[in-house]
Amino acid sequence: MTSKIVQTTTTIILPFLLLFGVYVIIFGHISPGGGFQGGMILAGAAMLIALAYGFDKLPRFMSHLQSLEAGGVLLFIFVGSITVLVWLPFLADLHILPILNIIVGIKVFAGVALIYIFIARWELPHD
Amino acid sequence: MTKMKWFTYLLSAIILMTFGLIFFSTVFLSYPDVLHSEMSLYYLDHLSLTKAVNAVSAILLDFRAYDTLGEILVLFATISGVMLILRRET
Repeated sequence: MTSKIVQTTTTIILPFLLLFGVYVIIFGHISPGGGFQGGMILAGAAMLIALAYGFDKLPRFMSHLQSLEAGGVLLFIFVGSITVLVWLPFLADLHILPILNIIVGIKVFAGVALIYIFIARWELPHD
Repeated sequence: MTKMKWFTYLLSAIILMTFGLIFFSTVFLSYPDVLHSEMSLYYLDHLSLTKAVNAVSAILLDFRAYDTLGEILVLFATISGVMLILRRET
């Protein structure tokens, strides 16, 4: 299922892909981009790894991805409610925008990678 | 066979473009000043409140952060559904 060409290309292209994804996320409030876009780029990198090196070792990482996915929601709400402590409305402006960008990026990365892995590993039930 | 395929593609493209034009003109004729509305000018004028240069990020995560919260919850629900339906019986 795996091929030498895909593995070599993945090894060469992967550092740049990860760096670009992280750049798009953490510079989301300055340059074009943001959490959703950078998260999708990182999820593309995860799909490339899964395509090149097979799905055999993936179940070890899936629990971590699920934790990131579920924890992202809680972390977003938690960071948003920090502003309540200083008597401002929920999710009000306290210059928390870059932090929210990073949280959304991690969440979208974990979520889209999980959807891809689940759909790619699915097989028809034997009857 | 190939002629039929090309005809199908052409028909699909024409139908899609017609639908797009209908929807676009509906919105655009209902609100002629949708491109220069008061709301978008407010966003651009008060961009310095958020300390963000990128206007899209400022709207997504500051002016309309509740929208992003809902979007995140929708993504969470989607993944829960995918994991429920496509799980392996092992």
